[in-house]
Amino acid sequence: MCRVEHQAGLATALRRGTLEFCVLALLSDGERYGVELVRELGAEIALTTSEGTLYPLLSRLRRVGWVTTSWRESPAGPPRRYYSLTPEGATALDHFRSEWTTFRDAVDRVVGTDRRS
Amino acid sequence: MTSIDSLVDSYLGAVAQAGADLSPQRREDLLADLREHITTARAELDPETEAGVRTILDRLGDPASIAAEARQDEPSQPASMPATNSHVPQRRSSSRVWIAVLAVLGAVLVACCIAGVLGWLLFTNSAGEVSVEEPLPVSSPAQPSQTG
Repeated sequence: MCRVEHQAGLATALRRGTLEFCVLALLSDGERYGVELVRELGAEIALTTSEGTLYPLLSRLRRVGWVTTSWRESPAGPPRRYYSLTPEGATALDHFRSEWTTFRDAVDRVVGTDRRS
Repeated sequence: MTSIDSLVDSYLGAVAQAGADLSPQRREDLLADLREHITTARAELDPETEAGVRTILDRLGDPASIAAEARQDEPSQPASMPATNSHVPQRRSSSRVWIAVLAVLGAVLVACCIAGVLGWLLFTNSAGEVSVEEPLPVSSPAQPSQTG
């Protein structure tokens, strides 16, 4: 039981700090409305537990000003709120990309995951 | 209200309840986001069925997990945001729990002591009464009740 909890905790810990940059990266391709965005991320099993858990993260990205939202009419149904990357968000994503590469390489070297069998 | 609406309402109610300890603004933000998601996703169902709406809610996931995510988000904000004190009240409330537990343990201990003293008094009283009627062991000449 402890091991299962630890594994779940590990996945959560790995997601924390990286998932928000996955959101920024998706938005760097172009704006998306909420449902679209969480479904795309939700499709990556390793990245998220459920679609709903992404909304607290989106809320945080709005608060820090890395993403911004605007309402648009939809072809059918109620207006949709579209998320897009701000210049600050784009800078944060660039910074993450270089940090991540260094970080990932160091972990791979130390943990031994760089040795392909 | 249709049964589908009440399904959605009870889901959002469960999220509100699971996030009862969040700051009011954070909780309202979360509920507004989820409500918006459900409204948009429902509009994309054609036709809208109860099963379809259940799938939307299932994919959103466990209300407790969503609330937990919002809770964990509060202290670990990027440096550009002012730090929140959400850790402090939690610590305070956990120390309150400890005080309550200690108080209950103390009360139990005191109750045990009182019960023990009362029990001892009752036992020695009744033992004194019974000892007159009970046949005493032969091998106890030192007992004062026998010599008297």
